[in-house]
Amino acid sequence: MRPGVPEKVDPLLELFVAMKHIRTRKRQTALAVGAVGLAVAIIIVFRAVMNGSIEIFFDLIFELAPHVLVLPKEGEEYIYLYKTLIEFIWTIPGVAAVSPTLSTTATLSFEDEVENVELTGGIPAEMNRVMSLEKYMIEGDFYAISSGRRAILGEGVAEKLDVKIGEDVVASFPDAKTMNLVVAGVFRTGIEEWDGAAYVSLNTAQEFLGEGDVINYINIHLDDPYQADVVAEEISALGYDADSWRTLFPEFEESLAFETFSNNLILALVLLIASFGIANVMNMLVLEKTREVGMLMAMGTSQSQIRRIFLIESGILGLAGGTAGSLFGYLVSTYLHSLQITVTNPSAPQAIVIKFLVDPFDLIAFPLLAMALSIIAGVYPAHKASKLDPVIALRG
Amino acid sequence: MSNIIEIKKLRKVYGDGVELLALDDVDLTIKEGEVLAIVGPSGSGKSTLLNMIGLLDTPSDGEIWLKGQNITKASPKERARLRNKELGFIFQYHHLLPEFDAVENVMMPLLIAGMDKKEARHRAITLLEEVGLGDRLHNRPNQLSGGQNQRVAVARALAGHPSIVIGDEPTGNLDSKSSDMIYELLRKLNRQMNQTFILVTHDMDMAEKTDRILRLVDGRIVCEMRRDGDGFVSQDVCRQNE
Repeated sequence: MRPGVPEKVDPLLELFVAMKHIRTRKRQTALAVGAVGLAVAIIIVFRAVMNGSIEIFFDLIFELAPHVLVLPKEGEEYIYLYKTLIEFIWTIPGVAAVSPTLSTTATLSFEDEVENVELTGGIPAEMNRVMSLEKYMIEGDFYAISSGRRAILGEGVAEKLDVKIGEDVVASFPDAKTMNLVVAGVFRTGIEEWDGAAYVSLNTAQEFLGEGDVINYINIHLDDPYQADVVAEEISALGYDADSWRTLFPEFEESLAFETFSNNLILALVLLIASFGIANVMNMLVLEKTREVGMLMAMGTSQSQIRRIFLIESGILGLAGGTAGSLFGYLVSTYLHSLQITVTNPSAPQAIVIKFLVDPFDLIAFPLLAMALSIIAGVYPAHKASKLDPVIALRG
Repeated sequence: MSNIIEIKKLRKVYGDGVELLALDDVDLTIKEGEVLAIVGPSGSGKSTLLNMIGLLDTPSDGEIWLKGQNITKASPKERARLRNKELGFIFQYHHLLPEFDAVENVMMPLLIAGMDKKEARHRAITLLEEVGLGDRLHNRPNQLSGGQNQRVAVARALAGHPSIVIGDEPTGNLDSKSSDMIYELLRKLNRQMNQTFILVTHDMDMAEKTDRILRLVDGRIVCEMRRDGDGFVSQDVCRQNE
């Protein structure tokens, strides 16, 4: 006996036997690798669609919503020195558009119809840059509001008032003057809230409100919307109430986080089911190999070595399946992306091109995850094999 | 000649409810270089005794000493190590690993011992040449005859230079010509390397070619005969029981 001699942990033998099983049992190997591969490929493609739709969603949000919104100083109703403020904002790097806006509630009436709307005045060019309104015009010309008392109406408003281009609507409000506005165009964004609004020039809005050359907010767009928090902080330092889209619309990221979580849960189940396939293959292997395990034990293979043979085999099958699936999923995603599949939604003005964006991280992470799950799936069969009684096992 | 195996008052009881006495007070000493045959009817405890000596099973009572060391209560890990280092096995069915060719099968005990692959391969090839399979090195078990597979199994049993090789009906599955060939091979290895063999067999022709025959009935050694020249001499124990 040689007490104190450390056990050799060279995995040479285990790897040798495991690889031999994998190479010679081609059908079982194909089954296990196929199950895991398919699962990983499904996951890669599914996540590519998820990433694509998230990008489409945020592109839409970032196109229409303010990246940073600047409101008056605390206790003040309007931003008075807005020209100085705008000059300052333009000095911040990464600012793409600055739209000073005066917005107020107004009652629009046409013949017998009356509708309360958000009447928003701005500089048409800047307004278009932060809201892309020109793109959503279905009738008339957005830039017509630049001169004279003209307004463009959201489709919802135009329908409710039953008004057509060229006709006059009357804008009124308790504190404001009554004003006739010529309908210069109609737009549709597909977002109900925005389609219930009306837009005029900044001058028109200021005249209507009668408070002088003031605005009540500034809508800022950035080259990179994810810099919004930094920019908002810089402006807040001047005493204005500046918020990023993150603070303004926390529900975007919240609902996205929830959806991502539930999708990932489904994908985890797909992978779990695939690892049951591995568990099944390993179980069959152990049953089939009972006599050989007995012989290996007779030759002095220790229980832990027997266990490792089957764990290594599970792991290799999982990694091989995961890698094949990852590659396949990437190719399928790339192909589907290149097809430029479009979906149309009746309420949306434009068809959406479905994007398949594969995250490189996924291509490495999921094969590794598949390997880990396969090893876990192999624990029970491996344990069973290691606990075989060699005398009974050899009898077959 | 030193003692390889010493067995003292060995008992083995099977079963929880109805107890079955498989071995009953067996005493046995096996010396280095011996070729020993154990014979007896089915269910007499031959295989049980062999499994005890082979460290595959544990006794209910009594002691087993291997090369002067009491291994009755050795841990599973230690028993595995001793099986690898001190014991070689030949079974009725060759129990070769079907996915591995002849060389790889013979290498297996050496790889388990942690030997370098190249060195193990070299030793395996030498042994296969020794058993007359130098031209069958890379055939898998399903490409070899029963006798050839059993010769691979013999080579495998000898690979790790074991102190004792255990054969459980090593020729039980072979025709008489192949059986003779296997026995002659074992005898040759015994003479060349002083290799100790213990063989369980039904085949009295083979048993009568060994050095010593033990007859087991109902878990007891009822007869022991030693070779004396061309014949066998019964020991006292044999006469008492007959």
